[in-house]
Amino acid sequence: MWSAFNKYVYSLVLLFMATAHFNLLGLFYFLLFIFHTFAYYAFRTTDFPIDYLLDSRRRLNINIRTLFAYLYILVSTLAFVGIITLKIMLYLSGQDSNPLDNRTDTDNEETTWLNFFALMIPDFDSIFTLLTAFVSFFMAVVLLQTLKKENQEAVQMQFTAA
Amino acid sequence: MPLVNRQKNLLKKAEHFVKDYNFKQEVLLALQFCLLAILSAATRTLTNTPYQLIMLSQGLVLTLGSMSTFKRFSVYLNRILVILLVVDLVTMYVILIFNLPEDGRKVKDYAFEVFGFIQNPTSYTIFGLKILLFALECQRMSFAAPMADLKFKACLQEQVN
Repeated sequence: MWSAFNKYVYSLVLLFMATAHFNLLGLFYFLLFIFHTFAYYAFRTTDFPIDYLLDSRRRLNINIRTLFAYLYILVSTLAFVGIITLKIMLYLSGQDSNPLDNRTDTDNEETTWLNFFALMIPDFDSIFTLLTAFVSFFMAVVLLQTLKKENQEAVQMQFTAA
Repeated sequence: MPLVNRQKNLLKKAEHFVKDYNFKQEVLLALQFCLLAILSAATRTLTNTPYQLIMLSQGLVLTLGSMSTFKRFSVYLNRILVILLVVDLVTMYVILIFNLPEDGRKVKDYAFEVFGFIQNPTSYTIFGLKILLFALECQRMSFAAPMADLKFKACLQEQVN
């Protein structure tokens, strides 16, 4: 059941992450969305019925999906850790609010490094961003576990067939 | 006797799979046609011209050639469309996140004209349509091969003959 719907779920999650954050972090998620669509929609990994009738099965080598899973976990981990680090940096800098927030005049020389990193995720201060980053990280871990399980099952099936 | 029954069952199944493959191929092609038509009609910006050209060429081939020629031709168009959509979507996303059209408006003359001509600032609908088209094109890739190009197992062909 899960394997039938998981590509649609991940499409929605990645698209949501890309459009909920219209910034450089969102761009990374958008690139992941394009990669995911290509890996999961353009190729099939499960045996499609017609493949049994063909000389050479039009199946995708599994590597492209594994590559996607590792890229996804890399981006989501960096985003999650980055947001937490930025929050800690904000706390340590003694500022009350996000330096990129135009409503407050908090731009001073001491916090230029914070401004530089915050350019990546301008809305890092909000709970919503932290929550979405956590959800994305969780989904990436689930995807990697699912992929590992599928690979193990495939190996077991090959072993049984042999 | 059981062997004959088994062969009959196999043939029935094979026939069903081939029909299913053909059906999916045609439905996806029809959907692509619809989406391309909507996309072509939705805006008059420069970035939409390739889609209009693709739509036009598909229409021409469908009118002048046979269905099998059209299917074979649409395989090449499918690959071109996927590449075009990847480039277009990433460019669109970058334009949207950096608000380039708005910047172009602030600066008079050149920038406004360039950004206004290339990209409509309020084109989230087009963005969504292009994402849908990209997903559809990727899905079409797995059903893109025309039946004539597929090489079936020799034993099955013998049974069919």
